[in-house]
Amino acid sequence: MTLEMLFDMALVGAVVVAAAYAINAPVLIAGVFVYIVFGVLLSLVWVRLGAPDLAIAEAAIGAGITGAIVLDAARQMGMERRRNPRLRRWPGWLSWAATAAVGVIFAGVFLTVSEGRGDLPQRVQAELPRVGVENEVTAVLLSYRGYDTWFEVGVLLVAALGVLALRAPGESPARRFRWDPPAVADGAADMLVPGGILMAGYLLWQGSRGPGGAFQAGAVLAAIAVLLTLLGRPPIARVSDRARDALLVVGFADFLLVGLVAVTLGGALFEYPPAWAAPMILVIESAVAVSVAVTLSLLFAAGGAAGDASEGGVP
Amino acid sequence: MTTFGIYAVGAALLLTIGIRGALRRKHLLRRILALNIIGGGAFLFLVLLGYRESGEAGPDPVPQALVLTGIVVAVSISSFAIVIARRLNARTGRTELPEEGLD
Repeated sequence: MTLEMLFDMALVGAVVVAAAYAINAPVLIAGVFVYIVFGVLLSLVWVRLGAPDLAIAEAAIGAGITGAIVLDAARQMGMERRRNPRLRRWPGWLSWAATAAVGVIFAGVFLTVSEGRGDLPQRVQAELPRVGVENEVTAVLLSYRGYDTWFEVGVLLVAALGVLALRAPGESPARRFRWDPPAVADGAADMLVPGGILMAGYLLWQGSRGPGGAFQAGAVLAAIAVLLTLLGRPPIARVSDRARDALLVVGFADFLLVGLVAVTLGGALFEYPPAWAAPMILVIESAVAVSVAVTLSLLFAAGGAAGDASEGGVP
Repeated sequence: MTTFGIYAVGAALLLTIGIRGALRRKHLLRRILALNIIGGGAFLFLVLLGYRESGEAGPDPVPQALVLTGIVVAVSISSFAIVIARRLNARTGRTELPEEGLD
């Protein structure tokens, strides 16, 4: 057994144990903490499998933003009347037998598939000079499979519309934590916020040639918004409802608009002319990053508004 | 066992743990976490399909782009579900869905 395999086994073992504990921990909040650890371990898996774009996205979105949202929800819903109640529809031995059967079927099917079939990587490589970006993942997202990504931005928009539609009349989704944050927290935020914005700009710009892109940049911006929200100065409260709605929509609208410009220049939807592809993709990505950031921070703020609009909410 | 095999078994275990958790647990947040872990298992297998153990070609970017989409969709759906769960909790004090004839 080589050292590499030992590492793989240890990493997979840790991911699986973290996943099992996250769901089954006796105390809910402990499970949520371990879920965040699960996200970080999964991003290590992405690095190991040669997917740095995913590693950044998983750390920022899967562990970071989702972690903050679930942790905030656990603060409200952490109490269980009985410890970790479970459904008992089936006797224990039968449910374990069913679980084992499901696991064996999945593992059996997965192991019969061999890795690395098909010629997609070669085809992506062959067309890359016409796409205007060097990062293959960005090329797939923004150019080859533009429809997928456009609709993905649409899903974010629908989620934002959903939480706005669910709020009570007159309730603002911009929750304010009413507390006096310690001076050191305020000071740390003052240093972290410019650094975070710079980092987001770098990820956005870098996305055309290396790991990074609109979603990672948007997630980093959203993380800053979450930090400021926790300190009682939510950025989303600084803009009017109309401006907020415009920022939510701009990614989806701009993506379509640039796609239509490509049509007027003689291509298909999202088939950018090679000479203009690089700037067009950058225009889409900038708008998408803004919408991702505003949507994710709205989703965080809306969770708090739904849960403790009346209780005041000290974190 | 190859690298592919180790991670493939890991993906199968994540899916199994997630499915069991989503069906057996009652607390809504635990169920939402379980759905995310099912997603993690599916993403892991998808990326694994594009993994290259050796050879000059790099990993396949197409499944990676699909999984990136998946991660963003997962956070949208989970946080929408959490907003609904928190509203239910704020209105009724419940942390789980009522199920008649069970308990």
